[in-house]
Amino acid sequence: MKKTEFLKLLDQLLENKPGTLKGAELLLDIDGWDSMINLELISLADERFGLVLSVDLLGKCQSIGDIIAMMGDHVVD
Amino acid sequence: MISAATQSNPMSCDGRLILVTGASSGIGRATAVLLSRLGARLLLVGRSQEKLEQTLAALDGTGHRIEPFDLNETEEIPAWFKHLIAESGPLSGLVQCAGVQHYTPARFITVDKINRMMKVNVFSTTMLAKCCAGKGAVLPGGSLVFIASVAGLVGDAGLSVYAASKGAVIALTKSLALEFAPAKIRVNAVAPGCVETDMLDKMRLNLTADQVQALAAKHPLGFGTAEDVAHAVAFLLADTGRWITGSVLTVDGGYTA
Repeated sequence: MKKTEFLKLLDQLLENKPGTLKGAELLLDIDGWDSMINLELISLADERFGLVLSVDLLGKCQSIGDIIAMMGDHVVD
Repeated sequence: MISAATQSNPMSCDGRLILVTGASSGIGRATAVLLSRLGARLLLVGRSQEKLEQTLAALDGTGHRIEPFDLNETEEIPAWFKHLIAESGPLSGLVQCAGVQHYTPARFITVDKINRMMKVNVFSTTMLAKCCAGKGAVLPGGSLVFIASVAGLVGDAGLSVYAASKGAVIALTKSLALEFAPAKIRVNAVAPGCVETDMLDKMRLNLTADQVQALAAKHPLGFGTAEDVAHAVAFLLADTGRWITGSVLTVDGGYTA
């Protein structure tokens, strides 16, 4: 999946207008980013990429860039 | 009428034909293994032939069969079930263990997610019950046991859709119990708390270490095992449960105490 598509998915989860997230944001600065988003990301990564993530792993992410890195080769530029 | 085998061992399932869904792992597999030790012949249902064969290899006794089938194919259940009964003869019992669980925070609920959850947890259970109501499908004195969950009895954040599906199974159990009683067929549910299965391993991914600890603390006797639930299922299937119908037996280490 292209990074732009992934960012659109995150915008959708956050109920943002498409294109709101640019990819460099810190999670702390994002309105509406909370632990529930992590639950949804675990499910999304499993369903779309067959990737097993955990809340503990995602809890270490500080930025959207970290989240994208967590998706490995499944999200590319 | 209580048979001689039952008089000496009220948990005996000697010669009874029992269908177990979700038999490829977890509670379904543990239930099948226990029932085989109690003398039952098993029809093992699950999606994976390979996993069903592993369960089959763990059973005591003879006369067991595996029946690979995906219960998500709800429209196909009646024809599949009819064929099964024509080949195997009427059932003495059915245990519906097949089910899925996902954390879905309310704001991420979609119709598709609800459908997927309801399909196997509720629709397939309902269709199996419909099939059991058919002529000659289940013998008088038979027993149906549905695996519900404590989530159908008490709330848990992020589990509302799952909880709704298990609450539906509990409601289904009570009405079916009344409907099936004239045919001398009993219908009960078992509501487990957290047990050590693949499902709990998956659940752990959705929880922090602190949350797992908090969840464990809600079970005064700790997390259970699949065998703990299997014992309750066998109790309801055997003559030990012959005067019990429409009940929800919580097997939860004290979670709902």
